Amino acid sequence: MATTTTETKMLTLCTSDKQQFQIEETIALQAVTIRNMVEDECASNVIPLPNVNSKIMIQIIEYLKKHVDSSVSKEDMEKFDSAFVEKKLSEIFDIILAANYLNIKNLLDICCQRVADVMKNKSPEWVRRTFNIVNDFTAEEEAKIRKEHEWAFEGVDED
Amino acid sequence: MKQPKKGASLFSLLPEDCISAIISLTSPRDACRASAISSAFKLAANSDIVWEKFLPYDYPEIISRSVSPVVYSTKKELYFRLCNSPILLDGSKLVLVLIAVPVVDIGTKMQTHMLSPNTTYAAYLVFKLPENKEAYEVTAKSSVRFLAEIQDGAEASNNRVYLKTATKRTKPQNRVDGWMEIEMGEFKNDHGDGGELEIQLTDIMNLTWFSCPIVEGIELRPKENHDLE
Repeated sequence: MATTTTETKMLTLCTSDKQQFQIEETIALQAVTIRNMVEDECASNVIPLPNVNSKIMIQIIEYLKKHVDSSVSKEDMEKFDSAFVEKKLSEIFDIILAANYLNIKNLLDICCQRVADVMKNKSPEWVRRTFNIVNDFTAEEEAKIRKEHEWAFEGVDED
Repeated sequence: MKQPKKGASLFSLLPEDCISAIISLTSPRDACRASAISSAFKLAANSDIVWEKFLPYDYPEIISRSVSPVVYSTKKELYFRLCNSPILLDGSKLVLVLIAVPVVDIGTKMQTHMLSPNTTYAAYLVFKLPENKEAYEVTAKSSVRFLAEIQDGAEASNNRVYLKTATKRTKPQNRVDGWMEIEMGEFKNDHGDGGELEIQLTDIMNLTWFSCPIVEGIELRPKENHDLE
């Protein structure tokens, strides 16, 4: 391609815990937030990412490195993606936050899908218990919502 | 089951849009149940981000072709408006009942006064089947009949329709809008203004979770030149 140069342009990303990551620009620019910062020239050599820690950054770079490689077949990419989301849910939530902030749509989608798959066909009680969610409805409010959507509560998985 | 951290909920970290994005990847049923989890979930589960995903992608076109204006204030309201009552498109030629969810059985009733009298119509199932190499043939029973006929004790016609087949001649046809369609049956609209029609699709065979059809709706179209043959 015409843009190929002998020297690969590098970017330095600085995470919330002040770790620096040197990565190729083409890899980093898949994150729309980083691309906008580079295009607006508000970033010099070092791009500060105060909302991402180094532990999550390592995983995001792993993902971006794979996805920049156009020689990977669609099938292999899907295999990579499904292996990538086989993590603890707490890590998945951290990656969702980071992917949302960095604006990496595919990564956000596969991580949200991972959480969605856990919630599918489960009762509200199960979801509350599993994710430590406080039920802040009054008994009347909750009964009203359940009545409105009665059909949706039939045939859910056993808790 | 993997356990989240102790203490605060993982979900409390996420902005509402992210919770909506997660719910939008479930199903309309899951989204309705999610609204009963907590007030934050209720907001996220009722948002337009979620219900926009459940509507057919060409819903703006469908609405713009409706004979009477389709009024709604949220996408959720629109979704249920389209699910619960047929809308009339393009001046009595076409009626569409929208479902747009994976289905196991479909049953819908509609008033035939929306249709032209004494005209022979055919009902078409508009659907998609997820890619599934294992299911090489997916069949179902379809029936299209007037409620008055059921009360008279008439047997359901129960056509066998092929949602996926490599061998049969009655294959589903590809439509220009990206969906597929198969004829479910036909009827003559001769029951006057009070006629009520029942359309059913049951007994979907070779149904695994992965080959559950996504049904956009049922379309009724006059059978062209049917009576001249």
